[in-house]
Amino acid sequence: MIITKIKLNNFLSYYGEIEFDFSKGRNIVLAENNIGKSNLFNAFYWALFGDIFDKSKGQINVDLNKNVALVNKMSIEEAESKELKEILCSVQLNIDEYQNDTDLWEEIEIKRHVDLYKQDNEWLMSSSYLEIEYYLNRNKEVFTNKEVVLLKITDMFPANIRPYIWFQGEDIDKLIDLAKGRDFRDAIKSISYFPKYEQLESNAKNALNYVTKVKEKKEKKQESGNIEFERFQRKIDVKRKELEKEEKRLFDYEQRLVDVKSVISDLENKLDVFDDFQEIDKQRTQYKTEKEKWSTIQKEIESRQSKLFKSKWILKGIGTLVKDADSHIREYEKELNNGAVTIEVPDKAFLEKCIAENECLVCGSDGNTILKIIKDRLVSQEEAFKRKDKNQILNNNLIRLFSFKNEIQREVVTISDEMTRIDDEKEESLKQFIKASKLHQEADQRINNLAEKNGITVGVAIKQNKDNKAGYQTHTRNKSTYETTIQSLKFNIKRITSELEELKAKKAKSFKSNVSEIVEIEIEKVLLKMFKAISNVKDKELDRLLESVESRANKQFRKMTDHNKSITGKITINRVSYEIDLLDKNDERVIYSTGYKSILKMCIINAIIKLNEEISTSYPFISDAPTSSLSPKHSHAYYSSIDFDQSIIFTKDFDKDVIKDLERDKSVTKLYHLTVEGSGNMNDTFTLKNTLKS
Amino acid sequence: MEHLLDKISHLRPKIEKEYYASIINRYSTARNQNSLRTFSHKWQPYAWAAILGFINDRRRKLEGSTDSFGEFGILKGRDGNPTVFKSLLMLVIAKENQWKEYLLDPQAYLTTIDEYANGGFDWISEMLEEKGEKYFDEFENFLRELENRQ
Repeated sequence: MIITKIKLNNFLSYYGEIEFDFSKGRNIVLAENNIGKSNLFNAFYWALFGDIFDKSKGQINVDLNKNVALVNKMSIEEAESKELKEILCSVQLNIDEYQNDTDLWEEIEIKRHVDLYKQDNEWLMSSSYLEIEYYLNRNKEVFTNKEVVLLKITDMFPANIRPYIWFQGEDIDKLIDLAKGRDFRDAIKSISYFPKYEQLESNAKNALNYVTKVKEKKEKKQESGNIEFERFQRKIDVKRKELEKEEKRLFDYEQRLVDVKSVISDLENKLDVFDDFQEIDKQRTQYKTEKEKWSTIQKEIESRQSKLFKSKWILKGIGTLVKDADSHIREYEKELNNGAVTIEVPDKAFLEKCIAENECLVCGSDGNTILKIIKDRLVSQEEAFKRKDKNQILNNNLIRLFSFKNEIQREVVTISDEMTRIDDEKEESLKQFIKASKLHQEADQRINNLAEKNGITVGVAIKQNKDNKAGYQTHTRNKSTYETTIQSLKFNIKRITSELEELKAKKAKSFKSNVSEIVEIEIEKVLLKMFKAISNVKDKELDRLLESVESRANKQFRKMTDHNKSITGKITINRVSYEIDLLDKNDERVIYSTGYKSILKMCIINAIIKLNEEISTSYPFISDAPTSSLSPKHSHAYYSSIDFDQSIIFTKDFDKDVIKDLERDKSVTKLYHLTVEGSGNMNDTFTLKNTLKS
Repeated sequence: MEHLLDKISHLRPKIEKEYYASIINRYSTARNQNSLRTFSHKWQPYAWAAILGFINDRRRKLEGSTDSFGEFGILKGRDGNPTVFKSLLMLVIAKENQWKEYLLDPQAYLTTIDEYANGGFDWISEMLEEKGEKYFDEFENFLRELENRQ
C-alpha cells in the first residue's frame, strides 16, 4: 500500500491549498521545530481517523472537541476582511494498492472536510464529512456512508497495527518496554503474522477435543453394562477433571508470574531511576550551592566596586590635569623665588631714630637734606614687608598644594588596572554563575522530567523509594513462589497426563464390543497427529520469527551504532520471558545509555513491521520526529537504515551537507523542506513547502 | 594666620536647587536594596559632578537659588575623602588662569569648583536625557562612564 498524495486546504498552519506527492521508498519532510511537521502528520491522522495528536493531551477526536483550532487562522482573517461567511478546511489522501493474489489495482481517494461558518458573529465548526472514491481497475465507486467508509479505512489500517506504523517520536517509549516480555508479545500479536499460527493450533485442538467427546459418547453407549470399562471411564473423567484443574491453575500461575515480572520490571526501573534521581539531585544541590557561592562572590565584587568607585575611581582621567597643575605650581614657585623681597638696611627702628634726631646717624648729614629720603625709605620698607608676608603665605600654600600631587598621582595611576582586574574577576564570576545556573536548571529539568515520567513526587522521593524497595522484595518473593508452584504444577500435569494415558490404554483393553466401528477413534488419532504437527510448526515458526526479528534488528542496530565501537552487544530475545536485552559474547547484559535504548526499540519495531511486510500487505510507515531524542548522527543513521516499502518521516532540520547526501541518496524518493512565512504571529504566519527532491 | 586650605574648608559649596534635588538627592539616598550602588554621602555626587566638569571642560556660573550640603571641609573629614578634596583643589590650578590670585581668595577658589560642578551637573543631565532618566540608577552605567573617560 502506497500513499501517493496528500492535499491540504486551510488545515492548521497550512494556508490555502498545498499538495505533497509521495512514492515508494523513503519520503522525508525536514523542518525546524514549530514550523508545521506535526501539523502535516496530523493531517494524515485526521483524514483517516478524525483525530489529531496534541503533545499534552494525546489523541483528540476533533468532532467531539469542536474547540480545536483546526482551520487555518490566516484563512479566517482573510474571510473576515472579505466578509465571507464560510471557510472550507479539508485533507485529501490518495492511496494505491496492488493486490498480488487477485492481480487487482486499487486506487483510493479519502477526503475529510469541515466547514467553518459564521453565526451570530461567531465562527462555528461543523462535524467532519468523510468520503471515499474507490477505483478498482479504474472502475469508480463512491462511498459516503460514514460507517461503510470507516469500515473500509479500518480494513485498510487495522487498529492494532496503527500505533506501531504511525507514531509520534514521543510515543516510542509507550509502545514497547524492552524489559516487559508482555509488551513484545503484544507487539508480535499486533503486527506480525504469528497469531495466525496460534489460531491454527487452537482450531486443531478444538477439533480434537470435539472428536474425543463424540468418540467417548459412542464408546459409552456401546460398552454400556461393561463394569470394567465404566470404572476406567470414571477414573478417566476424574483424572481429566484433575488435569483440567491443574492446567487452569498452571495458566493462572503463569499469568500471575507474567504480572509479577511486569511489576518487578517496573519496580526495577523505578529503583534504577531513583539511583539516577538521587545522583541528579545530588548534582542539583551541588550546582545550587555553586550558584549561590558565585552569586555571593558577585555581590561582594559589586560592593567592592561600589566602594572603590566612590572613594577613588571617580578620579579616573584627572592625571593630565594634575600634571598641568603641578607644572603651573612649579612655574609660580620659580616666579616667586625670582621676585624674592629684600629688606634693605638700616632697619625701621634705626631710620625712625634718624628722623627723631633730625640727622643721618650713618653719614652725619643734617635732617633737612636727608629726611625725605629716610621717609621714602621707610614707606618702601613697609611695602617690602607686606610683599614678603604675602609671598610667605603663597609659598606655604604652594608647598602644601605641591605635596598633593604625588598622593593624587599614586591613586590615579592604579585606577585603570584596578578596574580591569576587578572587572575580569566579575566577568569570571559571572561566567561561573551562569555555568552553575545552567547546570542547576538542567539538573532541575532532568529531575522534573524523570519524576514526571516515573511517577516520582519530588518531595517524597525517598519514602517512595523505600516503599518501592519493600514492594520489590515482596514481589520477588512472590515470583519465586509462583515459579516453584509452576514447576510443581507442570510436574503434576505430566504425572496426571501419564496416568491418563495409562487409564486410556487400560480402558481400551476393557472393550468387549467391536469398537472399530467407531470412526471417531481413527479421526481422533489423525487429529492428534495433526495437532502435534501444527503445534510443532507453530513453535518452529515462533523460533524462526524471533530469530528473524533478532537478525533484522541487529543488522539495523549495527548500522546505526557503527560509529560507536564501544557498543558491541547483540540484541537477544529471551525465548521464555520474551524480554529483550543487549548481551555480550558471554551473555552478560551490556550497559547502554537511554539514547541507545530508543534506538534498540526502533530496531525491534522496524524488524517486526518489516517481517509482516514480507508475507502480507505492506503499510506506509509514518512517523513524526521519531529521532527527536537522538543526535543528528544517529537520526541520519536511522533514516538511512529504514527499508520499508514506503516510509514518510518528519524530522528536524539537518546540516546542508546531510541534506545534500539525502538529495543524492537514491532510496530517498521525495524530500521536502518546510519553512514559514509571516511575522511569527499565528494570524499571519503559515507553512510553506519547498520541494528539494521530486 | 589661617591657611587657604583651612579657610576654604569652612566655606559652603553651592549647588543650584534643581540639581540638588534631581542629582544630589537622587544619587546619594539609599532607595532600594541596591543602595550599595548609590553614593552614600551628599558630597560624593557633588565631587563626581565637579570632576566630570573639569575633565569634560564644562563650567557654568550658578543661576537662581542654591542649596548646600554643608562645609567644603566635609570632603576631608571623617566621612570624606582627602584625596578627592585635594584633587578638586589641584584641578582649579590646572584650569583657572586666575588661580594665583585665588590662593588668597578662598571664596573665589570654591566658586570655581562650584562652577565646574555645575557644568558637570549639566553634563549628567544631558546624559539622562539621552540615555533615559533611569540610566544612572544602574551602577554598571557609572562604571561605563568611567570607561569612556580618556
